[in-house]
Amino acid sequence: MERRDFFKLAGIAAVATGAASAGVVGYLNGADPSTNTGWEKESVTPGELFDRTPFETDQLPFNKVGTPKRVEMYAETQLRRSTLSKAFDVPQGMPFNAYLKSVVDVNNLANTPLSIIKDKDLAAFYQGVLNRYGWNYFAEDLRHILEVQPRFARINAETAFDFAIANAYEWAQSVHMGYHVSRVSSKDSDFQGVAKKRYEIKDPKEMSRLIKKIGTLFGSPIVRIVKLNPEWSYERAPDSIRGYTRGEPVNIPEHWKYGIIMGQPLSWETLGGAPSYFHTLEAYGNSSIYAARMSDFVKRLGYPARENSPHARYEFIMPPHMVAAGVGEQGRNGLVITPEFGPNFRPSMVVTDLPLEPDKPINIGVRNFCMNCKICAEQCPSRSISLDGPKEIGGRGYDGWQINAAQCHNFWLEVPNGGCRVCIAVCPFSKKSNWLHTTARDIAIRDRTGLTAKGLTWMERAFYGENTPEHYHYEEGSRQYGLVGEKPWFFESKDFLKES
Amino acid sequence: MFELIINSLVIISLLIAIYALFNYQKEKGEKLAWWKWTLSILWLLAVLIVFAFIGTAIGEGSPQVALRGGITFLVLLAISGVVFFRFFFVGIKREQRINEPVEQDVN
Repeated sequence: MERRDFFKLAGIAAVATGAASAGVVGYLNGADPSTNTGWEKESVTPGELFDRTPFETDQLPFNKVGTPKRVEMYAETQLRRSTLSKAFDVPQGMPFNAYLKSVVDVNNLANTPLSIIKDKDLAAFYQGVLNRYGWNYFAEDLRHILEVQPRFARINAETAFDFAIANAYEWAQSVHMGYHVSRVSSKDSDFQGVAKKRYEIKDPKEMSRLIKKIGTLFGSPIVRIVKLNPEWSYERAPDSIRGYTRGEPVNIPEHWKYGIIMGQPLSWETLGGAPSYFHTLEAYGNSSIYAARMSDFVKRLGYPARENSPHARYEFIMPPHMVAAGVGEQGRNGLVITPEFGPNFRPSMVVTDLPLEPDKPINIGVRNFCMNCKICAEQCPSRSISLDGPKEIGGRGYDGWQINAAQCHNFWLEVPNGGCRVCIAVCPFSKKSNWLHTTARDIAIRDRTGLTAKGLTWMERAFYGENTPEHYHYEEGSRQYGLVGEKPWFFESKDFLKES
Repeated sequence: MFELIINSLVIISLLIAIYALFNYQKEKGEKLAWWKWTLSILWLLAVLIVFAFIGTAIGEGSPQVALRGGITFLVLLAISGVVFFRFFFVGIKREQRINEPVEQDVN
């Protein structure tokens, strides 16, 4: 063999060996459980997952539009419609479903008069939607209760594990939930358990650094501090909780000064199982626990604290505060896109007057990315996400994308186990923290030409595939809902349980 | 330990490939310009990245991404590899032949 041919063969062999080894390295990284970042990870160093410093800015990453206005009771809290039964005088002991059938014409739901609703605020909300959009929301809600929800009884038998896991989380966390609710059971509960001795703080900046470290010790992979904006809060209590009666005005006391924002992503392992098998309840619970730990810590320093969390509920609107604190930027799907987890982040917040230094917002180019991407809007099963550019977000005082929350929630109610989360699962930012995705993210957020973002969006569509909104809808014949990806094997109850 | 070995193997393979390319062009009596070297090394790195991409996608439970992305990138690599090889070596040979002095009949 000539020397030239020898080197040629050696080169080919080296490339082949290198390629195979790179494949193995990639596989090990992809399969590494630590890339499920933030998911029940107990401790990280602040800023370990993503250094926000180069992206911090003095300007909020949106345009000021309109006048900020506190949120009305029903305008953006349509989830309260899930307690629609409270809006009627249902005889004690009578199932709500049976009651409804006795007061409405099930064959002509569209003509059900709003006057049968006891709650005048809710009736006004339905009337407002009818006036503005010509959409009979009330009839749609009645249809969900009378037609869609009974369907679940048939489907549930095939999704036994799905329900068992969700209920296990819910049951275990309901213990904590009761605990959380009791901690905010009155307006002055912020002061309950506050240490008699109030420690003076040497330096708010240093205190903020400490709070961030403590927050990560408590389990939250992101801890950011915000100066609270009273305009980004509920005007009236959406329910009889937190020391308020339903509809009571919420006054902002002076000690609601700063917010310590924490949270957690939903389980990465179930991401492809959206809409039905991608769970929320585990992150609800953990995020609430982080807030409980932090509020207790603050109280022991002698300062009042109040939890705003999934289980304890909220007085403040989280997305604008998260944006102001630099947790991320609000995306097309209305959720805050964090650099670490994309929109897959369930937040909580501790409100206090402990002297702190608020963080700055960040600009990682989410707005430009979302302008081009639109994957969430194109796949949204309820078509609740706009395909247009940013517009004024009602009452916020800035522009962005506002989803049709009520339309979104109606699809929630159609999915077994409640909820959808497709827009979280399909977002190109919702990726595990392995070399591939963090490298792509780091290049995309630095490339202000938008070319990288366009390339990544193309790859997302081409490699991960695209589903139509109809794909996620229920098919009577197959008794199945389409999923974003693969159903996690541990949800496949028929592989483990005998048919009864 | 296994990770250290496998990571080392990637780097060693890359270095051997560069060394082999260096000697190959030397044995052919050619000298690659700096920008051809740059492109060649970038191509080698791209090969490693594409295979790492395929492995990562499989590892994180997205075999369809590995398949679709793998095919796309491997086709691009194959095309660019053939173009580079022909352009860098076959092209040089032809260029050299054209520039070689024509032997004159002294008789």
